[in-house]
Amino acid sequence: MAAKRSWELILIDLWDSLRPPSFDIMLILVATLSGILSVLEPVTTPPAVANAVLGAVLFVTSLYLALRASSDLVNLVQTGVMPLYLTYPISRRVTSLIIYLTRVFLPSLILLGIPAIVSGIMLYPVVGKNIGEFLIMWIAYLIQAQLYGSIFILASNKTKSTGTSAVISITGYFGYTATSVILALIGSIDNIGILNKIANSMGFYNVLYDMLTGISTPLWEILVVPIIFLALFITYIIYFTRRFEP
Amino acid sequence: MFWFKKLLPRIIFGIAIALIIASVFATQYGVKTYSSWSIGYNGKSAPAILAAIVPTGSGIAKINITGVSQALYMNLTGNPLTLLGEAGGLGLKTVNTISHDDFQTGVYFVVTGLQGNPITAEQAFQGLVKNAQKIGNSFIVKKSVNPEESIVVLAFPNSSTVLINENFKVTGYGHISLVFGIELGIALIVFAILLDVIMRRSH
Repeated sequence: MAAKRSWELILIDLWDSLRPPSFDIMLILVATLSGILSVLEPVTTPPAVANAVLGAVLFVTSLYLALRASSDLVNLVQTGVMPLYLTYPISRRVTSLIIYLTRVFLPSLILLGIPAIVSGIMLYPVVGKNIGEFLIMWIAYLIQAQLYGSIFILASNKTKSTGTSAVISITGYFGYTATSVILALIGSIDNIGILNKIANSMGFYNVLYDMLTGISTPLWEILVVPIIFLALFITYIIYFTRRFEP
Repeated sequence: MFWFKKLLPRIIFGIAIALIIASVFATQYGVKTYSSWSIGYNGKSAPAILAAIVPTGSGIAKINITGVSQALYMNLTGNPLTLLGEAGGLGLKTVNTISHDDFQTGVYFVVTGLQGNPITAEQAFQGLVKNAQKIGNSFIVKKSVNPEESIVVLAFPNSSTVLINENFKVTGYGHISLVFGIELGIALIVFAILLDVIMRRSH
């Protein structure tokens, strides 16, 4: 029974999160842009195809998540839909997982998956050389999107204000990416190796790209993004389960 | 696409539109697979000349230099321009840098003069370099390069004008043809509509 109720809640919230036409516009936009990006410059290895296409798509996906998982989620609280969700006879932990699934995981899976399919078809002679490597890069981008998504969902749960959570989400995203760029810049100007490595490790796809192209990479670089993501994700689950008041 | 009631047909429709637009774009403005660049460089301006090809993808790089007494080459991983910065530590200075980039072929051609002691320049690169093949009056280097690799030639001018020709041919690249892209796109649109109708009926 609990499984059936959970499934119902997934469908209801997914319909809100992916409702037309905004999602469809986004979908056609990212799919077309990724198709065009994949033929702009000659990329001759599967990981390079992933970098050429998914880097730009990740940005769009993050903005979509920042609106849907953050300010839109607060709308649910303010319009009284969230209290209704919480009356479902399922535990809070399951509800928190469902909301994460419908607000962050599935939208990012679709918004990153479709460009990957389009660029895979567009450049099939290149991607076909090693589909495994292309998939690994795609998963890296997906995990990076989860990191941003968990910042957003945590911000909306904590603040419960549409404006505040949107601002925190976008500054959080911007702050993270800008920090990485600044660290890389200082690292290259002053030739400080560790700063370059930290900046590199803040993008999970950079680390995996280096590994796939045979550039030696220390183990800790692989762990940076997954650990930050897990910490944020677990904080969100605990907060929603124990402290969250809709 | 409010006329689609189900998620899967919406997604397939989106992919179809993207394939049609992108394959038209690819035919009109897409990647070129060959690029060439020639310059005449003042051989008196520097005791040594460094010519490099820095591509983003894999391909065959060819550098042809006329008017030099000797030419050495090497394959490098990474960007040779950062190496030039480090050459400063050896008392070498880069002067009169001329470059050309071709975005559609994904290649950056650069020629620069190296000032300082040419023997230091030669020693700095020794151990890593090979001698270029000499055909007639010109030295020719032709190598295949992988992504993240580049090719660098160090030459010592013996005439007032050094002619340099650099070209690059992309290998291992291919994209969907225009006809196949449009056909696949239309087929997917029809499939999306049928799928939506079937999924609606089954409910």
